[in-house]
Amino acid sequence: MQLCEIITSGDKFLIVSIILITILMSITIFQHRDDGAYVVIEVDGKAINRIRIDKTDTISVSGSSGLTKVEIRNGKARIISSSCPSKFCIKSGSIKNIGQMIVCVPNHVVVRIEGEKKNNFDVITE
Amino acid sequence: MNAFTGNIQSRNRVIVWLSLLIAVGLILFIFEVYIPRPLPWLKPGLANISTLLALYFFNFQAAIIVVIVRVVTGSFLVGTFLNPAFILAMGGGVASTLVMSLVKTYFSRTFSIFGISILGALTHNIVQLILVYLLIVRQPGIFSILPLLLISSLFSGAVVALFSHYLLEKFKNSKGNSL
Repeated sequence: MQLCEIITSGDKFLIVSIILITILMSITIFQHRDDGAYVVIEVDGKAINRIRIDKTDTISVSGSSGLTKVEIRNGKARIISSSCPSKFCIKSGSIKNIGQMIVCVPNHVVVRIEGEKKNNFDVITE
Repeated sequence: MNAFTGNIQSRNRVIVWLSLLIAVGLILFIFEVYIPRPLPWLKPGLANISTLLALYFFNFQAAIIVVIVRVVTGSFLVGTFLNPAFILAMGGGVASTLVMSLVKTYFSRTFSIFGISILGALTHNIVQLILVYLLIVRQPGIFSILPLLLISSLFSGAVVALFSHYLLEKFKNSKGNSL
């Protein structure tokens, strides 16, 4: 049976609406992208550290399964070493805009960027 | 039709089929752990092929058994049993199976296997994101990844449906091998 025969109009409607929703959401998110002012490091949802992003620094925090090292340099933050097995947090790369975050699930560590005002990033999900 | 009643012969056949589907799902799941991905959290979800086949060959009951056994045994194999990763996989798997079987039962005229598979992938990703929010991150900022998840569910759902469709056709065409 040919593929075009089995795809129904419902399928097409679904595919088109997903693409439209994706485009709309991307536009709203990227319009609210601004350079951040602070790097916040959280372990188990509690903020451990809050550092200005324009400093150059390397911070070690102990998560639930070991050490995570965060490097802040050139207005960007990234995780440079972690005790977690998957290393997804290291592969996530650098972040610099308000609301961006690196999450290390096994180690319960979250690195995120905040603006000058504390709740600036809430705008993104509106 | 309930696949779990009836005579002993057909029951044995169902058990063999489900075991095969679970095994195939497990292999695909392990395979996915090792293939490189552009972004760490995007997985094609090929193991969903086995769920979809169980749903089309049998019923919701069979599909949910395939999902739960696959997630549990898979977590033993990669060492994530009862981890957050395990809870995410279980939540996403069960929710997407529920949605796919509901859509297949009540909207099978509106959606083909493609629509059903895409809706399943969508449910899987959205439920996982909500679980990440509830269990781990608690920052509304993570929902900014949603557009990426939506578009990736579209592709992974379509790929899974493509494989499942051709496999189903193959089984339908093979002579004397009716389930």
